[in-house]
Amino acid sequence: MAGALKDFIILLIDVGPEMGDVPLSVGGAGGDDHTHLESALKIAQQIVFQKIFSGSKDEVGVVLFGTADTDNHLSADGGYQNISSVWDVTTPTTELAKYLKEKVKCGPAPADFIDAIVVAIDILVKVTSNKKKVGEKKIYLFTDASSGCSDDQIKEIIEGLKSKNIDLVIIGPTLPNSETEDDRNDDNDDSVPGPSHGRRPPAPHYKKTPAQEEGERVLSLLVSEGAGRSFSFHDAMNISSFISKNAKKQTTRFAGVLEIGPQLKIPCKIFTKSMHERPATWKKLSAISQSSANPGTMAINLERSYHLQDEDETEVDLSDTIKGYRYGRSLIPVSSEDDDNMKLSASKCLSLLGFTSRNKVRQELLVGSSVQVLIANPDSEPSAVSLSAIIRALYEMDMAGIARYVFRNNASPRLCALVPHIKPNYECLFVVQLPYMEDLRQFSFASLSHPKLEPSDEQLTAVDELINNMELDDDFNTKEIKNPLFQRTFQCLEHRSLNPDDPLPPLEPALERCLNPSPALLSQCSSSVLKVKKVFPLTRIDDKNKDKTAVTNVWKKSTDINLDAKDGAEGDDNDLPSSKRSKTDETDFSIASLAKGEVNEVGTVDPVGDYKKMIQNNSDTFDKATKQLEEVIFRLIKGSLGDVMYSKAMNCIRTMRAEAIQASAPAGFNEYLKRLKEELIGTRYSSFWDEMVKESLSLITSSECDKSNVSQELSDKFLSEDVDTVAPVDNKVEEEEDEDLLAMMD
Amino acid sequence: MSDWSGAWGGGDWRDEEEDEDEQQAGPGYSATKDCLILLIDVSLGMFVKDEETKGIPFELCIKCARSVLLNKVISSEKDLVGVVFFGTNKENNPSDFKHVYILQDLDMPDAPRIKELETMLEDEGFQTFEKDYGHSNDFSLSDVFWTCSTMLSTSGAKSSHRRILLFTNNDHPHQSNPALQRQAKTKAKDLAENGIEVELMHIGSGFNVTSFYQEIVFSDDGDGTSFPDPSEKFEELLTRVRSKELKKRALQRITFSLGPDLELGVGVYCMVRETKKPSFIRLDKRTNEELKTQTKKLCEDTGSILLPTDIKYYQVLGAGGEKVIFEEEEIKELKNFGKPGFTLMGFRPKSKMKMHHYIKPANFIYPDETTVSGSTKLFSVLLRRCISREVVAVCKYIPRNNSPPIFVALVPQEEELDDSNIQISPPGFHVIFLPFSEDIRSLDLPDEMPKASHEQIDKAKEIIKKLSFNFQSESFENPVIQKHYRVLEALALEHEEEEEITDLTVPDAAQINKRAGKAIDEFMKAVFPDGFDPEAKITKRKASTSTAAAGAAKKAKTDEPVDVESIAKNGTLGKLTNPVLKEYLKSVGKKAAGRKQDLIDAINEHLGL
Repeated sequence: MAGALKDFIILLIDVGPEMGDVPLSVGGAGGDDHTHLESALKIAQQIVFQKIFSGSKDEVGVVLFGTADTDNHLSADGGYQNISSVWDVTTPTTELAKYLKEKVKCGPAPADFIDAIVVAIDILVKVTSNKKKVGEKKIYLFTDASSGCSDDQIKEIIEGLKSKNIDLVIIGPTLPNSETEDDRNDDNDDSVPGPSHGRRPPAPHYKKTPAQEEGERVLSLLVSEGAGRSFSFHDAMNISSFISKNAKKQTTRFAGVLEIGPQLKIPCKIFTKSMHERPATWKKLSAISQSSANPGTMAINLERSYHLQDEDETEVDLSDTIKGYRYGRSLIPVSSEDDDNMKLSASKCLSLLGFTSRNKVRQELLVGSSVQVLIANPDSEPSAVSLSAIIRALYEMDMAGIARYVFRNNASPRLCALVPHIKPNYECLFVVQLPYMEDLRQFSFASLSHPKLEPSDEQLTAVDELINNMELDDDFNTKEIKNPLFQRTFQCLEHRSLNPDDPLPPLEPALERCLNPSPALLSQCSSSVLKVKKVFPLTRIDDKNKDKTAVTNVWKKSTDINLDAKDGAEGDDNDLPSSKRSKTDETDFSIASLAKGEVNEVGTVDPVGDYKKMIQNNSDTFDKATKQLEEVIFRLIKGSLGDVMYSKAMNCIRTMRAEAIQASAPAGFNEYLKRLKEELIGTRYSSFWDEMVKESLSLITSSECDKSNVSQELSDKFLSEDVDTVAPVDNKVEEEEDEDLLAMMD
Repeated sequence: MSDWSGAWGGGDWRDEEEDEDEQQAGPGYSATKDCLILLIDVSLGMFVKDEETKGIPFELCIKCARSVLLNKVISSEKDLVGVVFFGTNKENNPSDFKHVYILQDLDMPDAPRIKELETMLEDEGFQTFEKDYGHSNDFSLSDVFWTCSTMLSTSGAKSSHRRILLFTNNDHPHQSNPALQRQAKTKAKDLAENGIEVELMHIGSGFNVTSFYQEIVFSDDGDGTSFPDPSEKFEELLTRVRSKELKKRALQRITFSLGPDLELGVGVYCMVRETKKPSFIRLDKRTNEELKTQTKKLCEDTGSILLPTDIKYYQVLGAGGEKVIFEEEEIKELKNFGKPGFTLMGFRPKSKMKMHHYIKPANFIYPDETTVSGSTKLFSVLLRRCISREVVAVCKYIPRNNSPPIFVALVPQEEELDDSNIQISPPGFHVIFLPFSEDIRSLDLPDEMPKASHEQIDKAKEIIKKLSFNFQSESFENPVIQKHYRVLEALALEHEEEEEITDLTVPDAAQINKRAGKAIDEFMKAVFPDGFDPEAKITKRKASTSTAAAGAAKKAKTDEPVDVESIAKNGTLGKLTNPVLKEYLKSVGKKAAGRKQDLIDAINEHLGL
């Protein structure tokens, strides 16, 4: 199988003096201040990490040219100078990436890249000569083509590359007659212009040297003769930054017969078609050991122990324990014999139960973690013919098979659908897992076809327009998009491996881009979005300000229907059991709240809950409950370690405020807030007040509640001003203060 | 979970692995308890054989009670159930009311309670009932209701639903006593006002609901005069269902962004998930007490107990490569791609959905007013338009903080009701998870497989017609779970044998033969050559000549004598194949077993290298 083949790769890097120059960019997007060598090494590292992450066994070697020394097989007779094979062809590790990052520096002596290619070819031929499973042979040549070359051997080299099946990838200058015409201008900006004579001293130059021009001509020749491909540094960087995960090997999940009745048996095979892949799980290590002077294995061992639920948590030896299951309140011990008896034994099979209409297999009701593909056993012609007949018949009748599937002996039997799939070059049945009765959760939700929800024409048009303008074209296909978690994980691993002390790198913009709607689509739909916003009133309820009950009530009043708003994620007051489902949910709320039981005091554990229960059960307790809640808030703030309890206290205040508005009793709350402010400002709890300001949790205004005489302006002022300059909140107080002032002036 | 090398190396099958995202959705979650009192009339009339059904009404009631307990134990073990008799001669209740006997106070169902009822049923003709409880017609329904009300309010449970099932065959218990009638009605009204529902389970065809009970039982169904035929309800009560019941609960309440600054609120629900067998617990062998399991993490090097903050995370790069280490916080940050919610990418025709673009079970969304008020209106219009235009909304979905994004298709579903106005499918969008490029494997399938002729296809259609049925998941129980519960039930109730299980996933060969035997025969004649044995070992098809030649060459090569010794001296034994290594070892009389490295070591040892 193809997976077993290994690729062999030489990274052939020019380290001649010009590679150390910084290309002078003229404004272009590709304008960064990396030298050619830095860009080359970055791409080379990415290639190495690609190999590491994909888990391939491909082997990579490194040859530098332009080094001070010479170290290669061909240099014995005096040629091929300044070319060094620095890394033997092996399966790469992070060591190689680190070597490329840290050890490769510009050398003093330019070397002929044609010679270098010859050395690389020689190495590849040598290492692959005895190997059987050779996949691709590749040379990545990184050069700015400025080091000069002699083209006397060029024919032989082209011939050599072709005959040895070696793929030459040139990364460097944009070649005059290369295919990327469009990029040419940009890349010419990148390439280093310089004075014609300035080749030896690595000074900036502004025009291509003759040597460089000659070099590019030779490289172009290689490309045009079909012996190589070329990319600019910039393009190569983009291509190599997306890492492909190695494709999963195709393994047979099931090889056996498809049974239709006791007689008809069709030999078949099943493979996995789709399954969600995730990055490898993170392993744990002991930070204590890691930070010690001499870390050993750093491994973490798990020690499991069993304890009685008494005061001392007396440990019980494993041999003194027995497996058991809950049966209501009873605990039923189960011997290993019983335990075996509880297991269903099933033998491997794929047996058909019958056929059903295709639309009974609903994608939204599938379970399991994969889709598998069933084909006839490729080595049996009769099975191919018989399965083909079944697939075609199902396809034409728009039906699907239902089968019991046990993929190996004693695996759990699964209920599966066999859905026909026909492509020009093959036919198969998709095997998808269907839910059992136990897997379906029959929740009901309030109807959305209520008269109160009947949309206006305006609303319908707005939504329709949005759908029109947000139509995806066929270019957007999620199955072409790489899982960003892989890319991100690889990016972080690579970065951490090369820079152990750095924080995580930022998310790559390219990665973020493919996760969001295209800017084109967004601008196309912006007017429809505005329209929808205009005709549908939507109010975001602050996360922290979620007051479910109040919201439900408000909602109930406005539309008089129940919309499942109250079954909180905490699940303390929700739903009726399934037996009640048929009835309209109108009564849910009252029953639920009534059923909560009596609460007579607001505690600090769940003050909001307690408070609500108290005031719900009995409106007479409103004042009492509010008083208690006020106390609790003070206690929470003052008892808080740092600001840990602040959010809880803040919640209480929010609830109290909402309830005060609900009950049309703003005065008590406003008074309380004033007292609270006085208590807090200038003490070490004033940071809580700052939080209040941040949340703009202020007095109840007249716009929120008729009975309030506080204007919005006053409310704002109340928050922003310090306690001693606090604006009086009602006229009487104002007068008194005025008098005081006058008195003082006297 | 598979380890790093496995995931890189490929080929690991993570079929049985539980999706980490779904753990919160799994069973075991239960916050609210339902309370149910089975209130049974045991006055003498209940022990008189019903002429139509030939059954004793009281027996039917106890069977129902047993069935309710058996079902509750599995479906919702935390629910509280009580059994109360009225019309007894003895009394057992906290207020010492006459003729009211609490047989089982409100509590979680358990084995002894079920056994108590079973013992009662075993007593032929209820001989001992008279002695144990006695009969009387002098009860007061008001007292009975009072008792139930007290039980329900003192149970201490935070219950969401309180219910009384009243079993009787006497349609007018206080016929001659208007005062008792009045009291009963008043108390019944109290119950209703306290949110306690009374459901009447009346027995016997002559039972006249209007004579008395109409005013006792306040029906939610509206007019209060329509009393459904109880036989259906009895059947429901007697049906054994061994399935865990899960309460509806939103996995998340998040926003759904349709465009810049245009968000509505949705709740995400789980409507289908594979149910696993319940997990076991450890008991003390001597006392059957439940044990707590503690897991300590110990540092191998220092032996110290590790706190969560003492743990770092790493992956190994490459085989035998270095450990690249991260803090826990960094792992979280690494998975952070933005705030939770759905982000609309665009709409596309529903017809573009593909069956094989499936990676995990779907979720369901419904508008949520607690996140954004006004959501319901926009949601319902969006749903309506998506249904009629047959489009799906493709979105980016981030379920929680620090969970990686995934693309989903929101597939609209219209509300569907059955004949009795019970909701079959709720209105909302199904959230179908779409695969990333890594999730779809390109398979190397043989092309040019022989195709069936029209005639053969027609024969296949015959079989399909004969064997077609209307598939419904609801009619298939998971045999693994059913087996587990049946054996557990038998162990708990000390039954000799568990109730027999019918595995509905096993095809009924006789039925299939009866319905389609002939069609199958004809099909087989049309597609299989004479004497075709599908279960015979299939030999590989003859490979094409070129690969055959290569195979021959390969064979020839291995036949060549290999100079193992000189290769060993070069230190390149690794390049030889295992058979060659083994052959050599055998030839020198050494044990030839183990992995490649073992073989190489053995050779080197033999040669003294």
